[in-house]
Amino acid sequence: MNFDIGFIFQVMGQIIRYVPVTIYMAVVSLIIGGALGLVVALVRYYKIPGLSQLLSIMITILKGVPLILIFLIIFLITSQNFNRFAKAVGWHIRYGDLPMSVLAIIGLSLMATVGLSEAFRGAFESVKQVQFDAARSLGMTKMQTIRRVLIPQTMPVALPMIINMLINLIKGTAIASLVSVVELFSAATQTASSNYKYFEAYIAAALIYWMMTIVIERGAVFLELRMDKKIKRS
Amino acid sequence: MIEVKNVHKSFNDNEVIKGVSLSLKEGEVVTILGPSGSGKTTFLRCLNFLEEADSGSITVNDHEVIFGQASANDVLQLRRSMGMVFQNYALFLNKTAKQNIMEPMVIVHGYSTQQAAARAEELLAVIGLPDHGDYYPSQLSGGQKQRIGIARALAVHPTVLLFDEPTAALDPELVGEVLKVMKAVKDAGVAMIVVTHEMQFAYEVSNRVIFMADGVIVEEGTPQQIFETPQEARTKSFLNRFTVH
Repeated sequence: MNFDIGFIFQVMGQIIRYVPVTIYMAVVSLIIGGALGLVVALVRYYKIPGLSQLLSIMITILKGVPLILIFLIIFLITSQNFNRFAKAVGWHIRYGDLPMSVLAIIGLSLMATVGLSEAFRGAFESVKQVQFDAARSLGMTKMQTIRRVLIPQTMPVALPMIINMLINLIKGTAIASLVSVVELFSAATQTASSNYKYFEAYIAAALIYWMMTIVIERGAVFLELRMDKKIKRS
Repeated sequence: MIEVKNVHKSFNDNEVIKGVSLSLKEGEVVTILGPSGSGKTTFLRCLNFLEEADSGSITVNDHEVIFGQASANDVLQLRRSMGMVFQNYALFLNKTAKQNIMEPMVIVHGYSTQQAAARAEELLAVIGLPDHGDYYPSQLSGGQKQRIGIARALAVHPTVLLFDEPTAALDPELVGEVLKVMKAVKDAGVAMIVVTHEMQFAYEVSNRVIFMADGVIVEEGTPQQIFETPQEARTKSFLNRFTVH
């Protein structure tokens, strides 16, 4: 087998323009998963009867299923039922018109919700009881306490896990290639289909994923340093 | 002005407050003394519903709240007429000294940011920390944190301030600066209920001293009565431990 280093760079040059698609899917999933994960974590932290147990069961189930299975199940369910559903509620949109990246975002958002809800729950536990005593003694409502005390104190603790989730989501976007979304990984594969230099193409894709990860991690270190300055546990 | 009647509180089957009553006039300072486990901190926490008492009532400014039957709104209104100072300061770690003092003013009592900032600066000067407004709690000493805790509780002009062992977590050399601020609070005419082991403070600053043990008030009177001519054996033996050393 001839190893063609030049081709690696050629592929990298071609697929780099799909970086924004990958980042778009990962970041949107992170935001949706972060918001849902926060709600799930709050429901479980405050032990809201019924809902808390239900979510706990759902999280346990989803946690044990590989991302690719979640993704294929979403694909099967939506592809068979979307048109009927759209017709029933009077939408003039067909399954084929949907951007397939939406499916990837749903699957990745679920994964992010599961991971981040657990991350937030752990971070909530780091907030000392006396902080809540203070808020209550001042006459703050529960919502004010969540917004002004709990969440701001949780974020610096959860940040490393949020960044870790972003990195996992970036790598996870490769599954979108299964439903013909053109993103980094599928673009690399396509480039190689003409000359069968798959090995080089995979390495090119790996290098780009790797570089994105490095940039995110550097950024995270910077952010963490800034937050550390502000909040130190005393 | 503040009337606490017949408070009972149990944790599981263990009754820790067995019918404690207390009344406070405007600007009056009452110190509660007693051995650990006597229920004094729990009693204090019951007054603003940090612990929910089983029965009894509290009346602040003619507004009566009955323990065990209070609505969420009753509790909120009651808390907003009181301030509390904690043993471990309980400053919000994500906020600067000044933001801590402003928080109840802006978020709970509807001050504008400018009004709150002006009052916060005024209070920072009163507690002797005019240049520390932008410091985070992690950058301050225990004594500084506690003074800010007092300023935060005082900011919204509460009817009464509750102090839960405010100097117990402090290094001895920092106790003085906190007691000084507490004296200033008294001089400003704010009523205070103080749970403490600072005998000097109890003797010099309070109008009345209550000695509590095993969930009941054993004895109460002026500082002179309690410290110089205690009537009850339990009071005597408790005070002896402090004066002998």
